[in-house]
Amino acid sequence: MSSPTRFRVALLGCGRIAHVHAGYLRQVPEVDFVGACDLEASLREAFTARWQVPTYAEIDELLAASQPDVVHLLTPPATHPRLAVELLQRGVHLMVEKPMAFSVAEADAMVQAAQIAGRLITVDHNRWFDPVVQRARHLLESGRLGSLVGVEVFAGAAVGEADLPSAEHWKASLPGGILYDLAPHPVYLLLGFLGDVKDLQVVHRSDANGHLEEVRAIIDGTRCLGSLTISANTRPFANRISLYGSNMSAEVNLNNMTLIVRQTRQVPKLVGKVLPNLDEAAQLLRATLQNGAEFVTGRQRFFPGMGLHFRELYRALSEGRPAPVSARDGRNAVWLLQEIWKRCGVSMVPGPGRVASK
Amino acid sequence: MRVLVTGASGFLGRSIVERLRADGYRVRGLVRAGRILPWTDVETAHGDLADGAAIEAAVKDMEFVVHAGARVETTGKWEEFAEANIRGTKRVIRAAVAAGVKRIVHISSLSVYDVPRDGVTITEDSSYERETSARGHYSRSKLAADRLALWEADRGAPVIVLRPGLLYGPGKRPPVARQSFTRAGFKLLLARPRYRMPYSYVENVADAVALSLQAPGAIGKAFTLVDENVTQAELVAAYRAASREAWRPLYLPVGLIAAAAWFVERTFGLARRRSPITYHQIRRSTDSAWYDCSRAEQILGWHPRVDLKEGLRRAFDALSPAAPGLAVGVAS
Repeated sequence: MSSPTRFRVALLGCGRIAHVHAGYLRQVPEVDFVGACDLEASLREAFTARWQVPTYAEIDELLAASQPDVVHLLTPPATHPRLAVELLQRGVHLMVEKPMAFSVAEADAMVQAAQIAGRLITVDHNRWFDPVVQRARHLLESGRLGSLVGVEVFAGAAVGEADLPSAEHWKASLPGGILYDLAPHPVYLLLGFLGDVKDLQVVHRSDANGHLEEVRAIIDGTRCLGSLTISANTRPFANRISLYGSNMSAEVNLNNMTLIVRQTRQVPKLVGKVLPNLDEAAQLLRATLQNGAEFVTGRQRFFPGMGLHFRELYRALSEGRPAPVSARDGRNAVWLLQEIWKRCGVSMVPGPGRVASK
Repeated sequence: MRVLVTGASGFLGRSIVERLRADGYRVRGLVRAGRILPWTDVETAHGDLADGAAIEAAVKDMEFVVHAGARVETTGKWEEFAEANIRGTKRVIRAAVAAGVKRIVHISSLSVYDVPRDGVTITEDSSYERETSARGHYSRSKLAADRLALWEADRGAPVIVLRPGLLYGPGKRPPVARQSFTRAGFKLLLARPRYRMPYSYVENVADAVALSLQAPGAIGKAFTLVDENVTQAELVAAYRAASREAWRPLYLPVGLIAAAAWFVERTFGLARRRSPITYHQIRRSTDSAWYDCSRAEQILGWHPRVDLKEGLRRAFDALSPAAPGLAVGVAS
């Protein structure tokens, strides 16, 4: 048996998420982690000190001195299209942090550049690989859930300008305001369960400055109906997926990393009022103890889906299989988010992002 | 024949300048501000490797460039090493190409090679050290610079990379081992007696530089330069004879220390802290390799002119107070 191919992997961007990528890349057997690049000297210094890899100030240096096969593009989203096309043209495969781009036109240009260069482009839809989401996907794929009737995805937090690191930070100029920052994960999660979008209805509310605060979307997908809620006014911070099947239902809490399964039981009516609560309590207790033990022993860390995604990605590449997240998956998520935002009156051109008056 | 030597005031740079002057080259030396070169027939250009304009001015009208300048300190911030050794190398190569220079010799290091196990033979086609395994900022930056230089060569730059071993010669006390400590008349050596020290006498490396400026077929290639793959025990005997020092060697138990480092590393790992010493560091310092220099012999026609005994004699003679020095001045 031939030994699997190894990949020289570098990061473009040394910000907060780069440290998470680095931690997980170190654990992937097929990866040689070879360097990182950032314009900011203080970020480079801190990155090298922590991960003991060379860091570079320019893409040119990164490519010449690190000679990576794959680059993880971890710069602000507005820079993705330009940098992705440049990197693809220079012969590297790309893993792009979500969102792939702000607009479909940009995403299409990135995909086209990859096709012309004969290189791969994939997107870091890491929550699709979170252990709890994987278990929910298994319930569906194994048939235990029955046929999927509906999906609800909720992402909510009390976010505002006060949460921004600075007025110059790239999150300060997201389309429609800071709410956009919550949107990419729930959008690709919803699409993963729904299939392709056949119809879409959107309602929204904005604040006095014209920034989006609340967005609700109802979607008719090829697999089932679904809904998406993105809220900038709810406490506590919550990320949930509810799956409604013809045999049972499941609720994924992405923040607490729990999966609650609800199923019909043939028991007397009074017992039927009590048993589901006890069952849910037992499921929560078991998941909490398991998560706690895994965190204490270091078997689980934050962004667990990212590690699993990287393992699947590089194993697939070494075996000559397609990436687990295709360029089309990334492009479809960009399309749905653009379409929802458009119906809220927001153009996907980064800027103040005010909602057009109706 | 006009040649620019970067790092001309350094330990290796001085030998290179001497050799090229002897060969009839008109030499320009690039040195940091305040440094004065001791030769009246060598033109001095001032500037450091972070100064692109100074480098561009220095390569003007040159036919050849020898890039021996580097930050070699053992301490300092990563950015200081990256600026001098990676971006500096890029600046020198790009400026030389733009100026139409015929050949650029980049002085790299043996530390770029991976030594996967004890006793392995290393050629220029052997694997690079992994970036995450490189020991310290100097090795890490030299590894990146070596890759960068050959990457530029692949794109048409007339670059030649030389990878000398552990440099010794007049002007610097030769190292007796990778790691050694003197205690109560003993020299404690973190090495096995059969460990092979990749010694390179500084003038032998200067010979290789001169040859690589003219040898056909050298452009685009890397060359390993080790005089002798001398065993630690042989080196200790030659070293004591040349230095006339009276210490006795004491070989530390390498296996035991490597095991202790492994244990310390795991203990720190459990606490999610970085260990001050790692198993890899000990192995990298104590696993020896045989460095095959046949490519340099065949293409450059290089053979070490000065052997170990003579090299050590010259190095220790130069350390005696009566020895005439070749001083690099520093302007007050």
